[in-house]
Amino acid sequence: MLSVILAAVLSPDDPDLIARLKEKNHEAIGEVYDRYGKLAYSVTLRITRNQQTAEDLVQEVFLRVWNRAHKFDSSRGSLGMWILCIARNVAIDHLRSTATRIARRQSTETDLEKLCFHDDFVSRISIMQQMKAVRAAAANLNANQRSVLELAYFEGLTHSEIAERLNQPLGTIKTWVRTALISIRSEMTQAASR
Amino acid sequence: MTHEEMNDLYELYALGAIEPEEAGEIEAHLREGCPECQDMLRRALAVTAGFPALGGIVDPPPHLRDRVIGSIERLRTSASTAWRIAYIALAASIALLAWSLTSYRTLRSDRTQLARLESEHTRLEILIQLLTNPETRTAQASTNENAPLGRVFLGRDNRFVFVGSRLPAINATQTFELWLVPAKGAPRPAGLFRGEDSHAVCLSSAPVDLENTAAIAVSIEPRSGSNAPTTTPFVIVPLS
Ligand SMILES: [Zn+2]
Repeated sequence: MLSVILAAVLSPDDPDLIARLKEKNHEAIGEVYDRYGKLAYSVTLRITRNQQTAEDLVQEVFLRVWNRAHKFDSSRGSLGMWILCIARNVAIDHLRSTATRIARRQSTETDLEKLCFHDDFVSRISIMQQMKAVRAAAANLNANQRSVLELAYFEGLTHSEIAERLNQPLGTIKTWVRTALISIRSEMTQAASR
Repeated sequence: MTHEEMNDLYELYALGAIEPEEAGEIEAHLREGCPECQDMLRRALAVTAGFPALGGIVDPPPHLRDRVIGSIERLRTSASTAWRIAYIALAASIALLAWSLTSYRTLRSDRTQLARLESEHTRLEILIQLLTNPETRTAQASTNENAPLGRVFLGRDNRFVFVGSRLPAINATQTFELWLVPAKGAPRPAGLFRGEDSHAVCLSSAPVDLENTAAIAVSIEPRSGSNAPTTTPFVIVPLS
C-alpha cells in the first residue's frame, strides 16, 4: 500500500495544478488535498500521536498552503516536499508549544521555513527514490539507530535532547546518529546509481 | 568544528534538530562559500526528504477533507465579501463627498459649512488622485478568518489611504487612530477616524514619511486621540 501512496503523492508536480493553486482556484486545493492530505495527516499524527490534534494541524497545513502558495517556487523543490515540510514544522511547533520547553529555539523555527525549499538537487533525484532508499536503509538499522533518527525527524530533538530522552551518554547518541546516517547515505547513493 | 564533524551534522541541521551554537557555526562556514559543505548540505536535504518514510502512512478520517476544504472556502468567501463591502464603503464615501461638492456650489451663505466643504473638496481630490494613480502601491494585512482587515493605498506624494473592514465596535468616547510604525522607535500618530458599520476609509491627515515606515497600524484610542498607542493595534499592515 505504501508504494501506491508514494507513487500518487510523489509523482511529478502538475504545473497546471500549481498555477491554479497560486491563482487561489478553490478546486485546486481539493486536488492538492487528495494528493498530499494522507501524507500530511500521517506525519502530523506520527508527531503528535493524537488524532484530533492531527486533524486540526492538517487543516492548519492546508490553510498555510493556500495562503502562501504564491511564495511556492517549483524550481526549488516539489509541492509534495513543501507540504510535508510545512506539516512537520506545524506539528513540531505544536509539540514545542504544548511541552514546557518552548521558546528556547524559537529563532530556528522560523529558519525551518527556509529549509522547506530545497535545492534543485532534490527535484533532480526522484523523491520517490529517496523515500524508498530511506525505507530500505531503515530496515537495516538497529532499533537504537532508528529511534534517534525518528526523534530528530518527528520531534526535532537535538543530540543532547535525544541523549536526555533515551537516558544515554551524548557520545553514544552521536555515534548512533552518525552510523545511521552513513547507512542511509550509502543506500541513497546506490539507489541513485541504479 | 572540523569538516568531518560538520559533515555529520548536515542532516540534523536540515531538520532544525541541532543546537543553536552548532547551527551558527555551520551557517557561518556555509556563508564563507565552502563548496564541499554546500554539497554536503544539498545531499543532507535530499536524504532528509525521504525521512517521512520512517513513520507509517495512515488514512485520514474521511470527514477531514470536507473540513479542510470548508475552512478554506469560508476564508475565501468571507475575505472577498469583506473586501466587497469595504469597497462599497469606499465608493459610498466618495459619492458622499461628491454630493457635498455639489452642495458646495449651491451653498454659499454659511461660512463654516463652506470652509468644511472646501476642505472636503480638497480631501476628495487627493483621495481620487491617489486611488486612480497607477503608481499607487497597495499593502495589506494578513487575513485571518474573522480578523479585522486592513489595506493601505500608498501614494507617490507620501499620502496614504487606509481602507478597513470588520473593524471592532467603538463607543462614543473612543476613536480609531492610525499609526506609522518605524522599523525602530515609537509609532507616530497619523490621523483619527471612526468608520461606519465596521468599515472605514481614511486619508492620512498629511503627507507622511513613508520611506521610514515599516508598517501602518490602527488602535482604539480615547476620542481626542493619543500621542502614543494606549491599546494594542488590532490591524498592522506591513509596508514592504
Ligand atoms: Zn566546508
